[in-house]
Amino acid sequence: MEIGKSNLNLIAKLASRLMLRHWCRNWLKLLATCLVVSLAAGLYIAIDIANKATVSSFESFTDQITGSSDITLTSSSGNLSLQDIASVRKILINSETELFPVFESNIQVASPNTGVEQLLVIGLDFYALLNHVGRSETKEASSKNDDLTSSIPVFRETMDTRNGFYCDASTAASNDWQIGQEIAFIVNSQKLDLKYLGSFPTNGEKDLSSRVIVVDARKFANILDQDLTYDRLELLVSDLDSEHQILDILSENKAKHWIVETQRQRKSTGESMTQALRMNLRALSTLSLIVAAFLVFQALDSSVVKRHKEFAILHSLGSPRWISKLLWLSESLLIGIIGGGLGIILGNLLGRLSTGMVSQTVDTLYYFSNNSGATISKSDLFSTWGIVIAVCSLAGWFPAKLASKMPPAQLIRQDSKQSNYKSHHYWFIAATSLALSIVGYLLPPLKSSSGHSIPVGGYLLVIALIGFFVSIAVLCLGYLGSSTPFLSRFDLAAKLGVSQLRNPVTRHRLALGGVTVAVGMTAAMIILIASFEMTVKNWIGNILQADLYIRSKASGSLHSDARMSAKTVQGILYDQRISNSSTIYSGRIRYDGLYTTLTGYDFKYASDYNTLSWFKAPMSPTSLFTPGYAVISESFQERFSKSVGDFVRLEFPDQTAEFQIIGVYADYGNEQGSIGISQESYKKYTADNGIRGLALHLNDSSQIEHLATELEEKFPSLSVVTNKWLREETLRIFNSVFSVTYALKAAGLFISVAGLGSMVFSLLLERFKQVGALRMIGVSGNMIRRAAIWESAAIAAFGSLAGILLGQMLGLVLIYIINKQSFGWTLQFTQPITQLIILCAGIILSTALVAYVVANRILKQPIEREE
Amino acid sequence: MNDRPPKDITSNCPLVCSNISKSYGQRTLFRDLSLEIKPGEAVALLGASGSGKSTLLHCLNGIEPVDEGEILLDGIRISHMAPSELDNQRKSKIGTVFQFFHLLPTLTAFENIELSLQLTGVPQNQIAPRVEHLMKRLGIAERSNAFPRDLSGGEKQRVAIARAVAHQPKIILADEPTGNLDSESGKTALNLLKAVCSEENAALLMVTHSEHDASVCDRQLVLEQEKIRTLG
Repeated sequence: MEIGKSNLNLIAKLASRLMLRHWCRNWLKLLATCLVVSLAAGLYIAIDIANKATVSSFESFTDQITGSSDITLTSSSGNLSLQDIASVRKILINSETELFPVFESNIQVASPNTGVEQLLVIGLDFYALLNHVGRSETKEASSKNDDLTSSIPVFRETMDTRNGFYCDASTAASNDWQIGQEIAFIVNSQKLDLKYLGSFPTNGEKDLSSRVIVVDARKFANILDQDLTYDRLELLVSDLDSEHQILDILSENKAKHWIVETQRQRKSTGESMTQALRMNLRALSTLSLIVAAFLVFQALDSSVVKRHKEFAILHSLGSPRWISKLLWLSESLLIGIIGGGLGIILGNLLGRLSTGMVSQTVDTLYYFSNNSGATISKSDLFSTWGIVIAVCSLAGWFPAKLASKMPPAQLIRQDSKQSNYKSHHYWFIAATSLALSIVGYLLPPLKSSSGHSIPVGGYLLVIALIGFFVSIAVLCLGYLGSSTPFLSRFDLAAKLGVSQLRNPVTRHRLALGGVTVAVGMTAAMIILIASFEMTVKNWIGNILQADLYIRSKASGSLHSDARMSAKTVQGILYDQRISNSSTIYSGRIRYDGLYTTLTGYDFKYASDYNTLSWFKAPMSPTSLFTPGYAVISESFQERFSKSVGDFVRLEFPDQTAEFQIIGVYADYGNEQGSIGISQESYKKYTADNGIRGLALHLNDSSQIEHLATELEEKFPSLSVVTNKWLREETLRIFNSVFSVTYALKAAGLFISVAGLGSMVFSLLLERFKQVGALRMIGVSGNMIRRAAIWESAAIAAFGSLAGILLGQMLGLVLIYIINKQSFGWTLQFTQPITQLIILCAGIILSTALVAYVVANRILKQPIEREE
Repeated sequence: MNDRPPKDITSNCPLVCSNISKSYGQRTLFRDLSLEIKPGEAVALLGASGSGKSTLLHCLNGIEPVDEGEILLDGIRISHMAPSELDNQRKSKIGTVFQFFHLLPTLTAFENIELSLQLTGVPQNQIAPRVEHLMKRLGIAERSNAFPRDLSGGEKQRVAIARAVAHQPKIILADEPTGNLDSESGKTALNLLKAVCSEENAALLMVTHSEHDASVCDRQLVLEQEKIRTLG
């Protein structure tokens, strides 16, 4: 193949006369195809942005102040004490490093002006920070610290204020805070007033995140009348050699409960926490891209089929085949370039929306995230654009190859509705998919560094099942047309519409495949969510048996560390109306280097009220009270491959303790797993006497609301809620967790309905002369509309049926394989029949509506004359 | 019914048009054209390519509106009639035969013929005997279950003729019915068309290029220079 000057001229002429003129005439179709591609690309980019926002929240706070911190030191259980900090200073006394002790907690604005109620409070050693700045000034540090040094005089003047705090300007503005104003906050169970001192100085690379306030750790602990402890110690080193040197020193001298990580390791820990969530999002967004590729293939195939004769004539006249192939590919490229470009714009817009939803999910599941990381780099944008163009080119390559291979005589003679359908291709795909699904079922999960399992076999099974069901549906499509004589008894339009499926074309098959996949995936998600909801409802029905639940108002998400003091709890329990009560203690710990939860249970209460749902109950209930025994949650069992009879060794600040596992219980509130020990053991090892929650049973149930109001008035920093409210709230949180999936479901359904609409439009355009002939023999426009509705609704109904069957299988895979391996939760399979019926009805009705609109549009065009 | 078009009782002709005109932009196809076709009469319409023969056929069918003048189908004024009412008139009183057959590819030969009877609301128990009779009459009884892709050109046109006459229309409009057939098949199809129209007492207006085909008809008209003139 030699591209000479004459060939280039020919290509240019053919491109302008065949491609451009064609698309100018069919600009609406080009635009529709580009929009579908852009929607898929947009969704893909939006999910990418949301994922990045999720991970970026894990970036260390000190990145915002000092550039990047290099090494982080934490405790495997509880916080770092002042003694720990002193020990580190002593060990590193001769090293070139700066130490920044940091604590993080949740704080609530007592009377917020906006919806921002919960904030993150960061406690720092302001003197360590000032020393760092001093060194920077002395060294005339790089320009990145200019902003920091220029804003430092204000900081120097105000930092000694006992009850002061700093935050970013947007947080202050949204809450209408003025400098010097005292703001009421609630932290743990205490109410306190803090003075807003101004914006916190940052290094200029990034602003301080919104929803964050900064305080001096020492003064803050003093106000709260608490012992000063830190969540972590951040170490800043000058270069990589120093980092290695310090890591060596620390590994030689560190205490057993210290965990030393580089910034990279810490970030990867953060990433791994949300790995399962992000992986599921990515799988869903990739699916949308595949469905879009399906649609592009459909659009290009229709274009190729429609213009077979055009190209056959060119071939007959001696035009090389590679030129026509090239022209087809340039069409796909054009769609990819325009669609991908629009997708980038759409993706950025959708990104903001999806970030909000993903953040909501992440907030509920893990920690307070922020949207500041909701950006995507140019290289990522271009690579996504490249993927879209590649996907479009691939979708255009197959029909182009077929068209270029076909003899011109055959092409000219061929009816435009005939296709290259070979049933044995689909039998082959079905058989291969079946074999792959068996492999997927047998494949064990991969273990990631975070301890989470990656269900590769489960994902393979999903793909194989989709392949199998789509192939079988396509093979059965012809039989749907056989119902024509039966349907024609009821409606002549049904005869005209459904008879088209007697000899289905590629477009019918593609639309059927698209609907099957979209309905299948959506049905599977509906089944998963319903099963989760049912399981969680049953679970909370079991664990929530008290009349009132009390916690600090500042406690929010799973890892909130807000606690109540023993004194406060005693004040509550003094009330004579309380017949029974139970407390809960818990804190984050590290096991095998990974975060998990240690819970101190009131096992007597748990046994009396049967609040723990056992998967493997202890042999003897009394053994729960024996020191040295522990129970674990199902997620812990899956994540750390531990079961009854095994031992877990935990590092505490003062000692190492080993517990033997005697039972496994359900805990659907924590995917990182938890270890339950008796409250006596918990207090003994962790020295943490703060109470996380309090459950109260009353003598008289008519007093519930009354006592709740009384307690809230008496203890304004506490949240006192009834059993009914808490159950409703749990379900609300549950819905928040799944909020992101609703958008993905809607996008999937939109794409499938758009695919069906595009199919009807293309088919009616292709059959334009036939439509004209029908009109001439007296078929009314109304009947043609109804025929189009019958044709597309039949595919939608058949696709929905296949999709529901596929959804059942995918639901089983999601619940028993992917979910079990990703989160370690056993769910009760639930069949949400009403929702599935609504899904199918929605698809069929939307399709019917689209078909009506398309047919109406076609009928408005003048009948083609054969002169 | 008040909204029913008034029947012109002075005419028994299946098709009458008086002073009709049609233009596309600056181009006039015909002007002040008048035509009357009597019951059972076969009329051939000749004319050069682009003279407006097929457009005239579309106007008579009601598919395209005329700019001026009136068209009476079986005594009922169809020019400027509401589309839904026009559909009803067309499906019951007109049969159409196309050059390219335009059979529905996904319906069998039987189902294609049956379609026009179903459209006019003929009871189901009367449809099969009528279709079987026509298929036998046109020599395609054995091809009843064949799809159009399996039929020869001549067979397709016979199915199209059967479909056009099945519902016993007043007039058959045929647009070059032999134009896509070899001479032998064309001759057979034309003879059958003429014979069946005669048996069913349907008038025939046939657009053709062929003077030979036109000679089979009772009257020959030529459309040229925007007017119709009678040959011979």
